[in-house]
Amino acid sequence: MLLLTSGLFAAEEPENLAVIRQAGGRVRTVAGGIEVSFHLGDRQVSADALSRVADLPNVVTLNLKRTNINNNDLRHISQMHSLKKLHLELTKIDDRAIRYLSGLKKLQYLNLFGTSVSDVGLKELHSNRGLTHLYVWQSKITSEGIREIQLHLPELKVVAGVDLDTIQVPDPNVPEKKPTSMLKFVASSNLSDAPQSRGGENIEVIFANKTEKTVKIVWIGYDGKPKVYGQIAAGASRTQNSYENNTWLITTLDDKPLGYFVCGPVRALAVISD
Amino acid sequence: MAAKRCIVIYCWGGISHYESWDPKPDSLSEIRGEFSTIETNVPGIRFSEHLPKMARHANKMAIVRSLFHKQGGHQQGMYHSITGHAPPPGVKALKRTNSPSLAALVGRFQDPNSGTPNAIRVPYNMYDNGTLMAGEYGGWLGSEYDPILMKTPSGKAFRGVSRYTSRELDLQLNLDRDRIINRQQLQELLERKVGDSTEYDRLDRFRQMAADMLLGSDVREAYDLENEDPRIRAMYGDHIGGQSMLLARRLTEAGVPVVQVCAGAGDLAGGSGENWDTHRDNFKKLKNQLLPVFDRSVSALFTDLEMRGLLEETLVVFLTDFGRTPKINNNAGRDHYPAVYSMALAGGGIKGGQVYGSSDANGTKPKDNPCTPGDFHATALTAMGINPSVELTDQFGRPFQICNGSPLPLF
Repeated sequence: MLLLTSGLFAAEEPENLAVIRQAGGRVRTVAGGIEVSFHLGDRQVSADALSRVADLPNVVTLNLKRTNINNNDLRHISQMHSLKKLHLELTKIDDRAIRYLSGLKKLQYLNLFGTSVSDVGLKELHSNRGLTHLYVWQSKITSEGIREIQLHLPELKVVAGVDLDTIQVPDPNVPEKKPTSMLKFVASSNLSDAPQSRGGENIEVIFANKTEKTVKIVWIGYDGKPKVYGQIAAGASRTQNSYENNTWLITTLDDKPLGYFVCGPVRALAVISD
Repeated sequence: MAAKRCIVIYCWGGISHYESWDPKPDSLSEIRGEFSTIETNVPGIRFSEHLPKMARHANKMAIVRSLFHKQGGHQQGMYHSITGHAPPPGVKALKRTNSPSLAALVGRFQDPNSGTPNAIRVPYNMYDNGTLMAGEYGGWLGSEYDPILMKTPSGKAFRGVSRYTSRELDLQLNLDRDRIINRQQLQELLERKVGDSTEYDRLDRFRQMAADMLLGSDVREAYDLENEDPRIRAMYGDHIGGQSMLLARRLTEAGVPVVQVCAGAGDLAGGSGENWDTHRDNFKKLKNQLLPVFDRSVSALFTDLEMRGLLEETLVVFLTDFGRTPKINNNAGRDHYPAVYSMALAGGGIKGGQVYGSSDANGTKPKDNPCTPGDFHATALTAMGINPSVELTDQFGRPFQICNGSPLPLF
C-alpha cells in the first residue's frame, strides 16, 4: 500500500517507491518530511528496499517494527541524516546495529524495545545530541547503561518499562470464591408479605433453583412494585446484581408466590427449595 | 507530529468531577463528599484518593476542569460530549442526520485502503433503560463509518445490564479457516436469493469485514487476547474494563486508527449497575467498584503505551455525559450536572502534567477558561492532524462543518 501526495518526489523516485511498495512499505507525507513504515505489511523487508528508502529525500520517520531486518541491513540507514524517528522495536538487531545510528544527529526518537541491544551498543549513541526519547523495555540494556547515557545526554528520557516478573498473575485453576453467606428463604404464598426493597451496598446474589420446576425471580422495587427479572430452570443457577436490603420474590411461572429473600450486605447464595 | 491512533475512553453515565480529577477538599462536607485527595506526580495537581495509580501518570495527562454544556439528560449530554455538537430535538439512535461520534470522525480520515476497520468500539453499546443511545455512530458520514462493536473476549463483566444488538461481531476465534470459507459460501448463496437492498449491502459490509478479520489479519491476532503475555493481561486486571483497555491498545497497535472503550455497564437501567450514573450510593459504588477498575485499567494502558513507545503517537481521550451535582442527595448520590465537569487528554502530542481551566471553589461553574465539548473535540481533532474547521458533505452532498469549537492550548 502506497500513499503519496504529488509534487514531493523527484522524477526518478517512482522506481524507488515501487520497490518500497513491493516490500510492503507505506510512504506518506507528514509534517516536515516523509514517513516510511513497514510494520503493518508482511514485514519482510529486503536490503534493497531499505537502500531505496535511504535514497528518498527528507525521510523523517522510519518504522521497521517487527520486521525481519538484520544488523547489517541498518548500514543503509546510516546516511539518512534527516531521520528524526526510528522504530526498531521487536526486531532481531543487537549491539552491532547501533553503530550505524551514531551519525544521525537529528534523531530524536529511538525505539529499541524487545531487541538484544545492550549497554555496549548504547555507548554508540552517547554523542547523539538530538536524542530525546529512548525506549529500552525488554532489551538487554541495564540501569547502569541508562545512567551512563544520561550522563552524556542529560535531557534524554529513557523509558525502561515495568519488570513483568513483579506482576502477580492469577491462577486460572483457582475457582472463584464461593459465597460464604446464604440468604434465608421465607416461604409465603402472599405477595404482600414480601417487604419493599430498601437501598444499601451493591452485592451479588446467586440464585440456585433446587425445585423441580422453572421459577420466576421478581424484584420488589423501592416503590413496592414487583418487576420480573427472569426465569430459572429447575436445577439451574443465576447470578444477579442487587443491593443490600433488596427483596427478591420467587414465583411459579403462573405468578403464584413461593417465598422471598431479603439481601444482606455481602455476596450470598439464595437456595430456592420447595 | 500528529497522533496516528486514538483511544476514546467513555465514562458512561457521567463521572463525578469531585470524586475524580477536580476534588474540592476545602468545601463543606455536603459538597466535598467522603473522599480525601492525594498528590499526583505533578506538584499542585491533586486527584481523588481512589485514583492512586492514575496519580502516578498525571504527568502524561492534560486535565480540563472547565467544560460545560446545557444538556441535563443522558442522551442529550452523551450526544453533545461524544459528537461535540448540541443534540437536535428528539434525537434518536442511528439516524443519518445525527452528528458523527469522535471515533467515527477520526476513522473517516484514515487511509481507506489500510485494510482495517475505520473504528471499533468495545465492549458495549450505550443504552438507557433499554433505549439505544444516539451519538456513538457515523451519523451523516454514512453507515460505513459506524464504529464496529466488538465484544471484549474475556474479563469479569461490569455488574448491571449490557445489551447487544444483532449487528455486532461476536467473533468466534475457534472457527477454523475452512469452516469460515464454507459459511461465507453458504451466506452468499442465501443472500443471492434474497436480492439486493441497502440493508443487506450494509450487513454484508460488516460480514465481509468480520471474515477479513478472521482470515488472518493483524486485527484478528490483536483481538485474540490469548496471544498477550499473561503478565501484561494481569497488569490491566481480570475485569472486562481492564481487558477492554488492553484490547484497545492491541487493536490500535495493529493499525485500527481509533478504538472507543465504554468504561462501565452498557445500560444505565436507572443507574442500578456499575456505571457512572451514581444517583444512589455514589461513594460506595465509586470506591468499591468503579474507580478501582478505572484506576487500574487506565494506568495499565498508560504504562503499556509508554513502554512500547506508542504513547506519543496515540491520543487518549476521556469523555463523559456531564459532571455530578455539588450537593449530595438523600440517597448518598450525586445527580446530573452539566454546568461544569472535567475531562482529560493524554499522549498524541498533548503536553502532560497540566490543568486547563478551573471550576469555582465548590465545583458549581467554570471559573477560568470555560470551554465546550466542541472545543474539546477541536483539540482532539487537531492532535490527530485533522483540521477541525474542515467541511465534509453527507451522502446527499450537503456540507457539514465537522466541529464548531476552537482547539484548547494543550500542545
